[in-house]
Amino acid sequence: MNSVIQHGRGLWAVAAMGLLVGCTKPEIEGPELQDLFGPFEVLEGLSADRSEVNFAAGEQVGFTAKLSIRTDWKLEIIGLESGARKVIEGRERDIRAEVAAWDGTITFAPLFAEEACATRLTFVEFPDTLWGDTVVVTGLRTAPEVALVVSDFENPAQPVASFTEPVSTNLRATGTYYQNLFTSPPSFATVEPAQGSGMWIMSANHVPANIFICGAAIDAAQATTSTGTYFDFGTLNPEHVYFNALVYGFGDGISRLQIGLKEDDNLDGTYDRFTEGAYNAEVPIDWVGWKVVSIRADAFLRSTIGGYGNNDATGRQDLDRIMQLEFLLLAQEQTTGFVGHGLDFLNFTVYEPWRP
Amino acid sequence: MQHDALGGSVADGDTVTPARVMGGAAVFDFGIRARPDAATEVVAVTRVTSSLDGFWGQGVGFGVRELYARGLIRGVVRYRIGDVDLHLTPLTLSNRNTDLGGGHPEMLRVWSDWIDYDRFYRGGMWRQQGVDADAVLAVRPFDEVAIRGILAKNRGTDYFFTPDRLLGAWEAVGTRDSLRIGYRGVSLFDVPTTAQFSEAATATTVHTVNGSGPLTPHGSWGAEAGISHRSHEGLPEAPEPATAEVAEAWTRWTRPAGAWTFTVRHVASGFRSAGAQSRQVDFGATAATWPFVTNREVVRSLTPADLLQDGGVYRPAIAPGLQAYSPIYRAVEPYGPATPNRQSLTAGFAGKSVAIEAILAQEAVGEGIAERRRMAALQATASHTELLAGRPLRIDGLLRTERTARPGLADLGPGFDGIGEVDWMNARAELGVQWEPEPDAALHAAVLAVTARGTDYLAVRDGYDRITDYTAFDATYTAWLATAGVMYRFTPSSRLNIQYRTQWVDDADAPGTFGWNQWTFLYTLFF
Repeated sequence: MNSVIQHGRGLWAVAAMGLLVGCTKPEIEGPELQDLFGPFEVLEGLSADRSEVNFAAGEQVGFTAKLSIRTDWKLEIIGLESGARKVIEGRERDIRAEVAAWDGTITFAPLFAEEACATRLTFVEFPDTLWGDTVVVTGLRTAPEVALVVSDFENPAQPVASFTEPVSTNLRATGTYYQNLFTSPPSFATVEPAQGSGMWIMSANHVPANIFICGAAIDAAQATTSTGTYFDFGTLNPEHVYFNALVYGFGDGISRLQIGLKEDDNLDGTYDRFTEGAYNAEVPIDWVGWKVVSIRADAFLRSTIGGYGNNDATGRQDLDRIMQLEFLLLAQEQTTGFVGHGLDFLNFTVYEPWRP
Repeated sequence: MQHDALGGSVADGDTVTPARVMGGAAVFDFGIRARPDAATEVVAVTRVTSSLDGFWGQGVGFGVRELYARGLIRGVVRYRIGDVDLHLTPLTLSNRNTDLGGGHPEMLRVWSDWIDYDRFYRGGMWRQQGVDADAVLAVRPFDEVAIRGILAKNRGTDYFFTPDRLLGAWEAVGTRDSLRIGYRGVSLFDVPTTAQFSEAATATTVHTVNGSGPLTPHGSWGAEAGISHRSHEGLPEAPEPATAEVAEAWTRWTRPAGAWTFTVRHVASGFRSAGAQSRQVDFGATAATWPFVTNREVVRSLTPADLLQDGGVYRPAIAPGLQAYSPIYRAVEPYGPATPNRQSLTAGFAGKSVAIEAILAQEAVGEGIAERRRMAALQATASHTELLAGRPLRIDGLLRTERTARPGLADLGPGFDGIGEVDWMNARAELGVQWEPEPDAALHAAVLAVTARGTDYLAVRDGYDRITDYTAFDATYTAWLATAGVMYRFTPSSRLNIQYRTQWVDDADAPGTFGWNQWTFLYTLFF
């Protein structure tokens, strides 16, 4: 028993030492008080680390600014001739090239040209706007490749199945499109295709009872880059496949885009919505203009609507059995008025999202 | 039965709040104990409540207060099923996180004892519904190993979105001579399949090992250390599963004058132990008497009198998250010994008539700032008995004071100086006198004072206990409560307390000073 007691003493000593050793940790719990209670000030203005950039040579532009507190900021690079926009968002106190670097990609179409670009920094919680250095693009980056194009809406002969519930616009448009915004007095939005001359437009003046407005679908066999009855991405890993599109927002703030991947689980060449799975992803459209949207395949979730793809015969997401891509216009619940969006250049990429 | 009168500047110009209210109830707890066989006992306690206005049966309530069966299976396994009272260790499962705490003079203890009885708080127990079984085995090298298993229902499902929540606990303690070594686990977990439209589930589990034994004939040691683990499923916004540690060690030395205890403890900021961190007082609850005051019907903050006698502000169940607290009453260890983000050294002395506890503590990590809070608490209780006019006179006193300090931001430029600075003090003092002029009669008087001053930053937490913001809490608070009365004992099991109490609260954050005078008549009979 004495030995046990001796061991007990030892344990006590070890525990006490362990407590003392574990007493110092430098980290901070919770958001920093400096950011929540401190005054907002711009300590260093927005500046770029180069005045000219050649993206074709692989160059990048890094931006720096220094703020007194950590707050949500938005850096915009705007092509002064093309109107292209790149948006970089963050929440750093010390903005550096590591978090604010521009590689020539866009957030809003069209693509940048060889042009001068204005830069500005704005803040979600403060009205300040910092205008930064102008950057001149002297060389354009090489357009990234995509694995397959579902549709660029350039081919009027491409079969697109459309379906509508309330009265709505649901069509392929070419050239300039004048969208009625159903305001009083009347006003119209002018929409140019993001690329090429064709695009798909969905819109309606809806009432609160309507959540589903209209939809359209393209079979894999009818895709611009057809790989047969089913899309073939070359991988079955949902973490490696991205759906991408250019999506036009009218700024109404109540429109939603739903993308659906419909699986022919029993490989009989038809999709049965009662027994075969549909995997959906939804994007609230809260912007104006053509925005690049990318969704990784594992973010598509099995339908929860009874009789519309909620029963999946295989019980899993099968990327090699997708036979149709569906895109819907939905309205937020209990809203009324104009809803709409435009679509262009629907495509899939593998391993990384499409970054034009 | 009680009669209350509102006073203070808060009543000036108030044409909405009744200046006087009267209430009360007769409560009858009737227990039935049945023994179907030699190894089984069934206990049922029913409660009949008749409110003061319940003439002709109106306002009468009838319910089952307790129902359980207990017994022995084959002379080996002891069990209790139905209502169970649970307590393991202060770091795993314990119900002692109160605000006014114990150590009251006799006159105030009448009320705190009633709340402990009414809410099943006695002995630091949590009252749950489920099954509790234990057995003692002979396992070498120990003299015996006691094992225990508990499964209880913590929350019921609504069948749609809120799943059932269960509390599971298990324990094994080996004993050899005076050496005890144990392991225990406590888990509070949701059962997602019990809600049709929800796959969300959260589980918080604590595992600890502990040991205790003698050092010398007059000294002993003990230690407990472990981890907590919290995980979420089906909640897209939930944080990643997190593990955090806890450890404490203590030593106790007994001398003729009393016992000294020294404890060193480390509780990580992420340590979550629902059974040990759940708090008794719900500071979001509305008081039973004058829940709103002034013509604008402002919610009245809880006062010491409410904490003393209003059972409605006390929670009945264990909660998975850290609940809000008031630093006016507790700032150093608001969640008891398991308060997260603390490193502390505690020294205590318990003598025959004096008890002292001193705590020196600091945060394990800074909260929103690199600087850590440093805290100190001192609580002293003393009692003295002597004869006055040949009859016993007893004087009880209590003093508890806490201090918290933290430097604020500096050297960050104009506008930042002092942000985050904490300078907080809270204190409570109680003094009670009891004299028995007759063997069955006693005269009582007691005073309770609570004060708090300074600035602290209270963490605002989301549903996952993550700090999302801070509230700068400035207080200048003083509350006085004075009471006097008589107690008459009709028989050894029945007695009548008549008390007059006056309370005055001056809270700079309130719409005015709050006065509350009260007559109470409390008749108790145990049989």
